[in-house]
Amino acid sequence: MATNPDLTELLGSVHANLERGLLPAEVFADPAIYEEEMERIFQRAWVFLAHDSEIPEPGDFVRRRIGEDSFIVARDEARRVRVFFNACRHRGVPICESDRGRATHFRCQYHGWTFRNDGRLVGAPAWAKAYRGLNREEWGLLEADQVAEVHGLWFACLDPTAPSLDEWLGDMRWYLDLVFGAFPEGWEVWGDPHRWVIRCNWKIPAENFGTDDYHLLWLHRSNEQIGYFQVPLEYNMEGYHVQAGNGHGLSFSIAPTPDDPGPHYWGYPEELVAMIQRNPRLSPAQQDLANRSRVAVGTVFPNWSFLALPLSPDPKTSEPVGYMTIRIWQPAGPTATEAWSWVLVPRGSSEGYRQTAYRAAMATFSPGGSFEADDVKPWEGVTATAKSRFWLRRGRFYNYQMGLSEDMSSARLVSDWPGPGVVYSPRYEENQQRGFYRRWLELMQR
Amino acid sequence: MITYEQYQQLCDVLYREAELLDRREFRAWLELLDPELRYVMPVRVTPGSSDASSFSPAGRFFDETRSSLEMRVARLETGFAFAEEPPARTRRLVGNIRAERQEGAHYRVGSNLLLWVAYGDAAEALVLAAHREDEWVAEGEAWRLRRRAIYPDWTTLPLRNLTLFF
Ligand code: FES
Ligand SMILES: [Fe+2]
Repeated sequence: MATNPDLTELLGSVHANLERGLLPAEVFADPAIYEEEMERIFQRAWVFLAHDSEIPEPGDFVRRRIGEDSFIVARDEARRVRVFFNACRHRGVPICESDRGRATHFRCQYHGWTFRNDGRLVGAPAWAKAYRGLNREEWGLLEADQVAEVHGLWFACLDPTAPSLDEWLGDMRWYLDLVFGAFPEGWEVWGDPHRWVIRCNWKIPAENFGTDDYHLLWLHRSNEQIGYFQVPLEYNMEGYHVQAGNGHGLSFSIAPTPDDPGPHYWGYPEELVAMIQRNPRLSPAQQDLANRSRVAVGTVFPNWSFLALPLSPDPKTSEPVGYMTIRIWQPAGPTATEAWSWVLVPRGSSEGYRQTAYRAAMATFSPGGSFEADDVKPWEGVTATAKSRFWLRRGRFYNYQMGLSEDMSSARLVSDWPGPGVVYSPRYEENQQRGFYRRWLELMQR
Repeated sequence: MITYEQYQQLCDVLYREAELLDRREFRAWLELLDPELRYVMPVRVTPGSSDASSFSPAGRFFDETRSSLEMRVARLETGFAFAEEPPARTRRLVGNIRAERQEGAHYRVGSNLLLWVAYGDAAEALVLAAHREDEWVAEGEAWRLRRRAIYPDWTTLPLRNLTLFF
């Protein structure tokens, strides 16, 4: 439990109101909440760091963050992936300032302590005179307590007592097997990630990708006007929201039947669809969902999201093509988020597909993308209001009541969904977004 | 080599282009673009060694054709491109213009761009800096932009979105 009485009261108020579909605005701007998140969530959660293909060879590394701390994700000479805190063990100076690279060693700029890419301290200037008696074994780089991978997606966790990644993912694992396990040979990242700064709280984009489909009806209508949507927006809402446990959730736009016109298999081109159909690791239920999927979008708690859907780089001149993008919503203070976004392409896909898929992703979901450029602005608005004294005194709560009861919306619990989790359809409901905060509260109050 | 007059004309077209963009006369700007245009902005990184390029081999903020830029303009014209409603106020300063003649009527033009941008009533404005490498083609009296590579000076974009033209 939090030791700060104001914070305890605040969390109590979240608890008292969440099941009524009300979320106090402090959750998005209060510095004490943010500090507590850095402790109770980011020191305990499995956090996404990198894709395997970013560090294919021994010595490859990328620099990433957990909470606000800098970590190096490196493949050592024995090919093992390790996650080091980016600080020299002597006086803590960061030992890596590059975004990516290949190195057998990391040398500190201050006094020159040198660490191998398996973390071992191997030397320092004038070692015999300065450190004859120092035990090198004790002064290697600090490593994340747990590191694990699913479908090439590397996660780390700073809590040695935390459950395994599989357990943490819960029912989401089945959906990652569907969405990321669709291609038997896996994925590669295409290019370096986009990074940009949004003046919003990190949870807002996480919950947006974690089943806020309702905003499509209004916010993204410019895209409808320039010919981006293959399926009319109202019809598109006839999809499913999946609560996949532990705060994770995803949303499907999906064809009602395998022979429905419109996109199938997330709009991937034929040669890629054939790879999915031949994939023996997908169960019949997963094959059925893959077939009918137009869009899959979701968030793995706390701050990692994915989106697979068909869009075009330029609707006038080319057909939509399925692509996959993944994101980190990197906390950068209570009211700032650094977005990181990658495009993944299936291994074995053609050069032509990769070029088109990347251009489509960049034209739609990137800082300059026709969808995402509009998403970020209201996220800043939600955050700005959370700082208002007047709002806190008079309104205070954000509304999360869609689908709170059967009287409220047309959404209904689905009983014949082929996958795990708690599932609602159509997508006029916010159960999963409430579920995100339920999980958040559980960790914040533990 | 180019003549001083040709250099003057190229400076003039770059300044006119900046003015059109600052005035949001995007349709007039599109007129300056060759139908074969390729317009690219690579992602920039801090690489692991000083001899490695800091520009991503495959990562792009933009990889556009004239047609896709026209689509971006058409989106801004819908009135529902909320990122630009109300629109950004921009001021472009183009400088360090270096030009040389290539084959025929093709000219290579390098320039630096400082782009001042402010949104709404926010007190802070941002300045984005980039180097541009262009290819311009003379068509009688007119100039058309055939290629532009925009090399940004940021790794992490300090803006929430990138609905501006460079
Ligand atoms: S702080 Fe790194 S060598 Fe002294
Ligand atoms: Fe959106």
